Amino acid sequence: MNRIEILNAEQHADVKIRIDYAPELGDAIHCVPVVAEELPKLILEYPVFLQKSMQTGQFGLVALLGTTVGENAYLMKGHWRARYVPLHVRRQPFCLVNRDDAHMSAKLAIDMAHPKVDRHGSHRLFNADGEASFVLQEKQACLSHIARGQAVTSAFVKALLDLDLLVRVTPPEECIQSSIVLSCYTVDAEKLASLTDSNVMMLQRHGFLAAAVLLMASQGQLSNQLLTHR
Amino acid sequence: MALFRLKSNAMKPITRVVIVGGGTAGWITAGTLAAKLSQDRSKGLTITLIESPTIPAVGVGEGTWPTMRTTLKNMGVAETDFIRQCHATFKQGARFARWVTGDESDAYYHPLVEPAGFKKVNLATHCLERDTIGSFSRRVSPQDALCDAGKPPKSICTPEYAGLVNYAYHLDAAAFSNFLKAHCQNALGVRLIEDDVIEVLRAENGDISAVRSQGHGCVEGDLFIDCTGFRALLLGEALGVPFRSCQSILPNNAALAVQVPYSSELTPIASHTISTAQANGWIWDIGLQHRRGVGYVYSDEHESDALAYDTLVKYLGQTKSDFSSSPVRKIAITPGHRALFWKHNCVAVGLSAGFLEPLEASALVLVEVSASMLAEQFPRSREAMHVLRERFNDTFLYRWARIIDFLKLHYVLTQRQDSEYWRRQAAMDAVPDSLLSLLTLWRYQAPWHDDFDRAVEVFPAASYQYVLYGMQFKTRPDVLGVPCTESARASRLFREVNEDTSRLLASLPSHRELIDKIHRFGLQKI
Repeated sequence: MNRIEILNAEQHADVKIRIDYAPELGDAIHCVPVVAEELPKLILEYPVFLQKSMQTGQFGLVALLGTTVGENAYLMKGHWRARYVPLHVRRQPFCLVNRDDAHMSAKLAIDMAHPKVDRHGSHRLFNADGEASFVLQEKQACLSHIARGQAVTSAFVKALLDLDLLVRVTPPEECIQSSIVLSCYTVDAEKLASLTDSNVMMLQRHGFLAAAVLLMASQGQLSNQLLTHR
Repeated sequence: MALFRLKSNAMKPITRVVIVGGGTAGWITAGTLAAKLSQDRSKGLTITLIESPTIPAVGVGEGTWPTMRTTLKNMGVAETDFIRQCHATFKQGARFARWVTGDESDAYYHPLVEPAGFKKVNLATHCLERDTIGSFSRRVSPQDALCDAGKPPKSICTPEYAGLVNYAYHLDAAAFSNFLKAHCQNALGVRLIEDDVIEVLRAENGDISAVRSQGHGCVEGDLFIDCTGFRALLLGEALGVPFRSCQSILPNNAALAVQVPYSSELTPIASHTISTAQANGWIWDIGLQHRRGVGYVYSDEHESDALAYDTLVKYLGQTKSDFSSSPVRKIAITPGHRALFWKHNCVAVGLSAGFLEPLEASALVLVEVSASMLAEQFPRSREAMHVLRERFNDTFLYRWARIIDFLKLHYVLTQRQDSEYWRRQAAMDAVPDSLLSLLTLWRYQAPWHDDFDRAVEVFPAASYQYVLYGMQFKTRPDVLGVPCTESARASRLFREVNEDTSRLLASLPSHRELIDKIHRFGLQKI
């Protein structure tokens, strides 16, 4: 169960969090949502695919961390074995909550039930003067990155769907039965190659052409990194 | 010279298709032809549909067969749009209550999914010995359990037209007809003339040359399609093709239909047709998104209209339905079909070709397969029409005969003796010879693919198995027994069905929940 509280320097003055990674800290996950802006860094280490939400059936962009439920191949002894950690992972245990006020402003909030909230944790959220600590500032930065990136990511996904560019991923031998891999989609090279000039231009104008190529390129990480990491 | 003229006429390409009559038959035919013949349309082929603004569509064909998915997909319809605009729901088969013994607990399913492993293994053979045949459909498919639990055949993540198990639709016939009408005009270039046809004009060779309409004058054509409903204005009235009654085999000749609102927006929607046998007929109960469609099909030789009305009211009362604001409509049925479906340059599709009764949603499926065959084997010239016409007539005489057999199967196996109606339904002298010989064969072996020799059967061997064993028909187990390898394979399949069933029950939302999600989010194309 979540316990989301709007962050407040007084109320949360003594809250401490952990910033290491471990299965018991909620990091045993096989996939995380990502934003398109992260693609250049992600694809060097993760396979990035499109996946449907179980709740809505809508496509979203995800980085795959494992091929079975709860398996995170990047996790080892308190470390995240990659040079780049996805924003969604780094933001924990924080989130943004939309306020129904006139400005529809998003407020920074913390999930007090998250295992990373720990009184033995090494990091405070606020300095003695009540200012946000370095750690908290970084969390905030992650969240605003995500918030800014979401609209572009949705537009990217929509463009791929509208141009009928997606195809189901063909799993490599090692994980041919993985229902997780089987539920992933990527850009079809042939379909991309047969786009009309005007559609190529449209993708290019929005920066989606490069993103589509990066998506395709990331597929190799499935066998490269993920399966050999085990 | 005469020979040359004849020849040039014969070779003249077919470029003007005129469909007389709208409704679901007219628009399915128009859409199927227009989509398949899109190349020809760009080279000048025109499809014109003349719809009467004064004659209402019969509009009770609300059950479909899984072929409808292909039909819609081929027309370029998005499943999400169809479901949203036609108030459509998912149909996974039919539940036949009180058809066998008439007892309250008497019911069986005819699911739409094939028995597990049906391409290779005849599981029916493996159900014969241990007297487990009564629960045949439940043992060989997960669909009984899904229907019982009110679960849909797919999830919001399943792409358009794909299913986790096989499915068809229940749809609002009036909305469907309007939906197709808009799609045919906007996306497929079908020309609509809203007018009444008052005269059919003939050429010297007997062909229909044109139809005269009230306000638009003569509409000429090379190929005419009669979708004028029971009246059969072109094929029947103008070309004089006789009607063949099957009332001696299938005695139902009347129906009372009513639309029933749900008591709340949360009322569960059944994902199968509920067919409940009555003393002198049976009642269909179809759940759409916003209402149910319920109707009593009966033989008025056995039950007067007034008593039939009471039967319907009693059923509605038992299912706690408030229908005070809904008019009850009577529809007269003459069960049977035309002696031919294609004469000269005129093809009948829909009720003009014939109608038996609403059982097993055979009406719309016949429209689909007729339109599809016409589109696949479209006559390129008047001369080619001779050959294709013979083929079409031959195919559809076969199909109607098979459908008559299959519908009769639902009645002939009854053990009910409680009315003259059921005794007559089960009387052997009213069973077609073709069905009698199959029944004889099936006493010794379960229905299998070889029993039906056409590439495209409207009702496959699986359907016969479901009805046959649902109705507790006894096939004698093979005296030699079943080979061990076979029974190991069968055991594995039975186990897989069980696993599939649990997995689907656990993962699928309710039928109504899925419909709501489709309205909110839509289904993906992939």
